[in-house]
Amino acid sequence: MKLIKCHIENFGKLSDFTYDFTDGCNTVCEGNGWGKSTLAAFLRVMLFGFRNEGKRDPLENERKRYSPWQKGVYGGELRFESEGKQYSVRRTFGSKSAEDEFQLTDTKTNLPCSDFTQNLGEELFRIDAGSFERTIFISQNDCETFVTDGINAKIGNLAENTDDINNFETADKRLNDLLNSMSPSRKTGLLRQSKDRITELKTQIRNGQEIQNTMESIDARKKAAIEEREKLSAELTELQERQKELGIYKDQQAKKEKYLDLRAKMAQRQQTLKEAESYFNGVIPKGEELREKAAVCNQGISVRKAMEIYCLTVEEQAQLKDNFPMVDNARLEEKYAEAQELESLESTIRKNALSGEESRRLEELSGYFAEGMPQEAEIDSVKNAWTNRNEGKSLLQAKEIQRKTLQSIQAQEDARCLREQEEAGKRKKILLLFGILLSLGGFVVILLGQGVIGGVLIVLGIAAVAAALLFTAGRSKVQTGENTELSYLEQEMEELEAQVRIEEEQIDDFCTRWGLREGLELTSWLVELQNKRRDYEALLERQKQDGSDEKTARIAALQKDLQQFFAEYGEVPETQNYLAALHELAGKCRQRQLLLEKQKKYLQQKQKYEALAEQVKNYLMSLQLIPEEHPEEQLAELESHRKDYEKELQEYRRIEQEIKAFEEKEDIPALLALKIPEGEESLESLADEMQVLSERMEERFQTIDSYQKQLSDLQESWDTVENMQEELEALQEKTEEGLKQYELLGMTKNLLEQAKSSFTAKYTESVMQGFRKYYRILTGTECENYQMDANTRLQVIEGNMPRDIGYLSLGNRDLIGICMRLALVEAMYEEQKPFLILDDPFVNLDENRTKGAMRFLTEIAKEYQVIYFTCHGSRE
Amino acid sequence: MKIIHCADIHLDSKMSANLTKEKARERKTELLTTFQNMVTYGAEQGVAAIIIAGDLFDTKNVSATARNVVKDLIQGHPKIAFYYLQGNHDEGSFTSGLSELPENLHLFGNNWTSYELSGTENTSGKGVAVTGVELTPENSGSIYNTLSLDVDQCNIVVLHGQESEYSARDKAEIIHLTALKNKGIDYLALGHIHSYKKERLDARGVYCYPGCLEGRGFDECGEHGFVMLDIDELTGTIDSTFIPFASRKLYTIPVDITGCESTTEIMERMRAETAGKGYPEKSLIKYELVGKIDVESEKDIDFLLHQFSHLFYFVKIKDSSEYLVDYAAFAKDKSLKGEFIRTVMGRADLPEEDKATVIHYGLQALAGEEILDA
Repeated sequence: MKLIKCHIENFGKLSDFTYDFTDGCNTVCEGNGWGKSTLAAFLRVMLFGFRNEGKRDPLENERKRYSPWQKGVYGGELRFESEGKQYSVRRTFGSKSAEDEFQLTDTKTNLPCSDFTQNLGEELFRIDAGSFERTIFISQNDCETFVTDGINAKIGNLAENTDDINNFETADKRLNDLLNSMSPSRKTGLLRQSKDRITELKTQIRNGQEIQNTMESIDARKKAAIEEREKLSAELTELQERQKELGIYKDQQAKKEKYLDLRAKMAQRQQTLKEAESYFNGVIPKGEELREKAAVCNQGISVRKAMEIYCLTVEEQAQLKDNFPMVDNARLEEKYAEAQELESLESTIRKNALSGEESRRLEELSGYFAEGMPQEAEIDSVKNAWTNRNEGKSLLQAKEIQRKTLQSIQAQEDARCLREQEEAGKRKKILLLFGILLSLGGFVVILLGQGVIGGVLIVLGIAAVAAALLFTAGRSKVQTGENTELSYLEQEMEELEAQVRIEEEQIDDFCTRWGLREGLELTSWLVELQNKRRDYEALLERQKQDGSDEKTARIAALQKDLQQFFAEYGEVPETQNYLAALHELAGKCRQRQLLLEKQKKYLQQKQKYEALAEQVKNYLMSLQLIPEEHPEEQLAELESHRKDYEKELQEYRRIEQEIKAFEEKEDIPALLALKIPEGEESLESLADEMQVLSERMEERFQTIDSYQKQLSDLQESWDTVENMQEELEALQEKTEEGLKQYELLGMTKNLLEQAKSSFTAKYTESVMQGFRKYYRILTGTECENYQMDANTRLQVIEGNMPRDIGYLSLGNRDLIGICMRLALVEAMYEEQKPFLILDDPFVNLDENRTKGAMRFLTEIAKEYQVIYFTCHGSRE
Repeated sequence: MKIIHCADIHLDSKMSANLTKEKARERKTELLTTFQNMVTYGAEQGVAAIIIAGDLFDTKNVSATARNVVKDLIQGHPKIAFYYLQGNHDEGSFTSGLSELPENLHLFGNNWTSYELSGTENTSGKGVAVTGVELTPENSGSIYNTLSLDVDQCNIVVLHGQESEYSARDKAEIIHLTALKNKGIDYLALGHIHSYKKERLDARGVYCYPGCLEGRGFDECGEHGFVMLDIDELTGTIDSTFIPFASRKLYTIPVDITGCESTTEIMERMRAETAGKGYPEKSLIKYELVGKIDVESEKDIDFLLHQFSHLFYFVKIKDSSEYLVDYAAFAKDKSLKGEFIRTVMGRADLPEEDKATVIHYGLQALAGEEILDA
């Protein structure tokens, strides 16, 4: 195993630095600050990685410490040989391990290789970084060494076993920690704490025993109180029995009293019943009969009241005694009709008679219409004619205005037409001439041989001629139309004037006949004439109606007949007011009729009353009673007594029933024979005694309850003690188990250490031999004062006592450390020898020993590749 | 006629030996509830009486809740006659706290007390009598001589104590069975033993322990409940049936872990012992690890407990297994381990069991594993 070459890209102060290693000793002798330790650290870091990465201090944290001063790529390459094969490892470092890069290549093929991983140092040397630094890598001022688990494992060929000698220190520490944590003597030890708790619990439980004693004491008192309460309860039960017995007697006594009371009440009721019965003469009327007869009695009273109503007064009786002849209704109706007819006829005659004024007016009108009287239709016809005539006149005036307007327009139009006709005549002539010329031209063209053009010219010529002719005709027609409208108007006016004239002739004729007075307006005159005519006709009609002979004769006949009729009753009316007389006569007849009916009803009621009175009378007599003047009162009294009797009877029967039920339920002879129980105590006195006992019992109960509560409280405390007892038992068991574990763990630790010593002792001698060899090379003397214990710990014999090498001088310690390292390396690597890195380890040696160190270098370089760093030529 | 025979209910038991405080409190409540359910069940079945053959309560000082619940249960079922014989745990604990005893609660004293069961449908049949005595050091020797029963009726005798074929003077907890033979007993209703047991007493009768109503610890595993007596009143014959009634059951499951090298393998063995056995989820389970395992094997009881504790109401693991060291394998081993084992084995003063443990500790320490098995 050897180094071939290294190249540093950047690492601490070193940059782009290359070093080729040779076999044997490679001495790097450079001044202070050149970077020797950095180069040594680079070699170590390339194999095992950085130290103290978790530290904040940049001097301790190697990743920070060797961060390139000049920036650039942080890392480099290391070429080495192992078991005949050359490798190149390249590493670049980031600010943290996750950013690091690692690549291993086989230098023969330059291909990536997986013979080693990032844990290159451990895999290459089979030791950890710590062991590496205690053996192969000797840094400045740290020459001392000691045997690590890794060194032991490597020496014992157990580097592959992770859970053996290489883990001894950890295992030993864990066992030690566990023993400490469990320690039964240390305050922090679990077993010590358990023991303390056990002591505490025992004390508390011992104190708690007093609770049990108290509970037993209270329990005894409680039992005594219960016994006393039970005794009182027995006494109370006895009193209750006596109370019950007395209570039964009281109940029976009460029943007896009740029975006797019932019997007395029944006797009393019997007497009262007899008294009620004595009112009746042996016959007790039935309620229903009494109510029936009372109803009959009440009916009789009603009938008697009706009799009083229908009874005739003295005057009425006198009226009935007159022999007044009654008129039958048919005849009376007949006379009424005659009287009404008579009055009607007389009224008609009175109404149609003319007054003086009316006679004078009739005479005057007779003179006026002596030659005849115009008809109503005739007068209306004249009225219409007058209206038509006036309308015709107005229309004629309007049309006259229209005719004048038309005439004016006609004159203007005629003048304009004349002008137009003149202009048109000129245009017509030109057009006519142009047409003729065109036609002639056409003919000429045809003649000249241009048939088509000639034809066209002829047609155009004819068209022009035709247009001239048509224009003339149109103008003529317009003139004719205007003339027709005026002539129509004039014709209408003529017809209208003729009509007006006819109307005026009719009016004039009528006025002449009936003498229209001068100055009177025609319309008013016609209305007056019409009124006169109507008045005259009405007066003539009334004159015609007045004084008819038939009527006069009828009136006389009727008067005679009526006078004869009234004569039968001896009262002919003087005023001849027959209707009033007839009314008076009819009244008299109706009055007499009413009296007769009243008298009849009175007799009927009287008969009915007498029958009812007889019925009541007979009933009273059947009851052995003498009927009195007011039987209804007699009956009411009977009913009252009967009710009293019934009530008494019911009460009597109720008591009788009650006694019967009582006798059926109770033992009457026993009740009647009931005697007072012996003893003078009363229920009250017993109740008082029981009350006292109950109160005492209640007191006892409260006492028991109080004991019970005390016991409950104590029980809770006792529960706590019991819980403690449980805890104590569990804790004791657990502690015992823990102590056993503790003992066995201690034994384990001792036996493991013992085993480790036995194990390492087997190669101690070989290591010691190596140490002696290198000591001799370095010092030139034999080491006689040194020995190695089973734990590969070197000791120096000073003053006949083995002492730790820490007592030696620094130079000696370095010397011994270097020798020991080499001895260990020799023991560890029997076959493939590793390279050694020595970072100026001889700096503390004196001159003689420095010379020895140079020999030492020469010697070891024969067997190992040595990379030696020094800053001084004397140590080169 | 139907009668319930129960005993050793131990109301107000603390049960804190195995359980946490919360679970112990819960179990205490469940115990009371199960008793309540038993009475309700009896009422539904139309039982005429409930015989409590001692130890209804666990302590002399009963909690107010338990006392009130029991009192209300008795008063709430007036048609059921409760025959309560006090045991060694509950002497005077219940009745002394009551100002007035319920009418249907019947007690026994230091002398034989007999109750005729009323309410039989057929009056022409045999009567049923419940007779009992509370054993004390004073009466335990002589009480058997004073027992006089009407052999023509159906006799149920109630006692609380440990069965024995021999007499034990001044020992209240011993029941002298021989002295009770041929006394005309049809059914000897006993209490004190916490598991069901029924045996023949003599040619006529049987004796029976119903066991406790609920198992309270792993010494009370298996079925628990009460006994239902069905009495033919015409012939006087008694047919008794054990009715399992506990709300939860306790099981101890032995698991042989011989050959297991890791906690996972032990876990598989435990699973194999659990699966398909029909243990209800609400059970209380104790796994007992037995057998021998290699000294280098790994075993974490805490992990196992964590794996199984959610499967049941309560789980406990007791490790009774031992370590087995293959000495031959290390006899010539050139390593610290080999050296260590040889060193331990060379200690003649150490018991074999301790040697195995020491070796286990050492190997665990070297392997960087937990040294103690938690």
